[in-house]
Amino acid sequence: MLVMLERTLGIGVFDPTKGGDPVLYQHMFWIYSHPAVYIMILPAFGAVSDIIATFARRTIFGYKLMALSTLSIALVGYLVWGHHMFTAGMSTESRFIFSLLTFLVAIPTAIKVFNWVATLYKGSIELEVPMLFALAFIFQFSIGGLTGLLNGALATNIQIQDTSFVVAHFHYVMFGGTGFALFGAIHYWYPKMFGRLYNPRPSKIAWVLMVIGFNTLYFPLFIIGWQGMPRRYYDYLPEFALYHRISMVGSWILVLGLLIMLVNFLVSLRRGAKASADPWGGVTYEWTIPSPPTAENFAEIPVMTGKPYDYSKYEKPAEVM
Amino acid sequence: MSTPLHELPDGHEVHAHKVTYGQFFLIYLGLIALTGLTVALAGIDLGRWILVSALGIASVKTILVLNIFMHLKFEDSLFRWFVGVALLILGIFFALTFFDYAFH
Amino acid sequence: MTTHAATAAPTEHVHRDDVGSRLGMWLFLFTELILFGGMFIVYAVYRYSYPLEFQLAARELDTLLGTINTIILLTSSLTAAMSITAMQEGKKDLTLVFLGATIVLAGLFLVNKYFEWGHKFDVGLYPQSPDMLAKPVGEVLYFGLYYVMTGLHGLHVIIGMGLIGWVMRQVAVGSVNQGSFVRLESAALYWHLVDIIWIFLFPLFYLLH
Repeated sequence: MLVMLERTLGIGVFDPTKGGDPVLYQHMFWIYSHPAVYIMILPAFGAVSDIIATFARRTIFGYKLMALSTLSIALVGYLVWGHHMFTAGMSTESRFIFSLLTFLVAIPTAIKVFNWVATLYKGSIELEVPMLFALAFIFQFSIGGLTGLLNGALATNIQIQDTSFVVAHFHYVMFGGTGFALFGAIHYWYPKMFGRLYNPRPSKIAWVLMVIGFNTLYFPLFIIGWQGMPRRYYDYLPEFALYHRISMVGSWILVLGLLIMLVNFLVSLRRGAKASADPWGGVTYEWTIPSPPTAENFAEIPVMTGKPYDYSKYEKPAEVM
Repeated sequence: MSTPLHELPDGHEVHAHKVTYGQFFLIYLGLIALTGLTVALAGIDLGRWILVSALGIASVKTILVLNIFMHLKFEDSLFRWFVGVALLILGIFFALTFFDYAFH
Repeated sequence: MTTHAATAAPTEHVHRDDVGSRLGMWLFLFTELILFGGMFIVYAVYRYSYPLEFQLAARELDTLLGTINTIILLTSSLTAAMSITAMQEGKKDLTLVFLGATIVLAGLFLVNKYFEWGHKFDVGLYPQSPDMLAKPVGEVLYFGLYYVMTGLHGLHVIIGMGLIGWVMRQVAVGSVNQGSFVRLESAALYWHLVDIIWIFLFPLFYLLH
């Protein structure tokens, strides 16, 4: 809004010729935009927890810490916005603080990844489609998160700021992370939402294509970014050409996978088999009501008696995909 | 401290706590007085302290409006926690942004 | 842990949660807090960078008018609060009187603002004016912030007036009544926030010297 006013009415709040400070604009921009990406990833984390618990047939490892780490990420995530501005002209002391806080927010995130993996350990794993996406999530989000640390360290940031490395990093967390988790979530709750089962074969094929395509598309960007390929450029030096071409092929594979998945969703809406209340053997409350749910969902408000994700007394239901 | 709820004939509950006109008016007089104070202080040369005192008085006025006019004092303690966290985050934005400029 | 709950046909009652509604309004107010808070941060940084120019520029503002406007807004907050007491006592007409007074006072505030801005435009103190461009950059920033922040605040006053008018209509026809008035409370909460923003705008822009 301020920038619009600046352009139209000439109110020079960030215009250097009028005494304004572009760095201040960047502060204002990232104070919102960084928490925004946490707003995007946290629900994805929640979906992954649900999916992994259900398809490993195990209680989530360390539930209390999972809940606490979600809160910590939410809070500390408000304090790290400066890590987008390390080369913009902030004071050294400021950069130090923001880098430190960025490393701090990685801790609860890592706790979550470890807990998910620990949940898988000795679980009775079913490779249903949602689980496939959750596994891909863990792999891709870890890469994205670790390269985030590379970005967050002041020394390396100078090399990789505004290069393809950053582009690869945030696509790994946002697309490989949030995106894949949400695709898994759609598959997971598809029967509940639409009362129909999707056809698993096309989705599994789509998944294979998407994982191969996504990684082929974005991993080369880490390499050329490190070698100096700037971001937001459409043209590049010849030494980067091969990687760009590999990346391009990856994009075709990825799109093919996405299309197959989407078409499968649409076709299954009409042709899918009718879903029962609980096709996956889940233990959370949504699986106790019909698919799709009726208005007001529950006849009376359920009272929660046990622990979350309690699989101790679980038995496999007769009907399973 | 949360206010008692009382049940109406159709089964719904509403706030039982009522602030009287007199109580509101008293707070209002306080707000006017503080406004007068802040204007008066602006006329004196306090140097650096004018900013602190102006913000301090504004904060007291805000606390009065929040707690009495906006009923925060009589709501569930959850509301006060929410307001506290929101103000804390705003404070952090101020602090970290200024931290940058303090060292320029 | 779970029981298979058979769902019955949905009941006729409308779901109502007054505490939830109020909490929802508070959450919205927090977004407004961050909106204006962000601009206060910009103000703070520039005041820190250009202390002298801010003081100089502030002399152009009419302290008397600003004080009167502050009192007008505080009074409107009083009437808004009192309207809730009247509602709790079941006095529909008195509620309408208080709400109407709130709107009238808000209108007065806007009239004053109109004269304030109008005077500044006449004197040549608007963005991009030749007089403005000749001023030192610190002053240009001050006026830029002044127009944007009081302008956005004024916009919120107009919105608040609309909101209170809307609730007035509901009180008049009885859909907001002694047994169900959370909408009135929410509208009043919004109005008080508009007041609080001005409580900070006033000393920071008008009382700098």
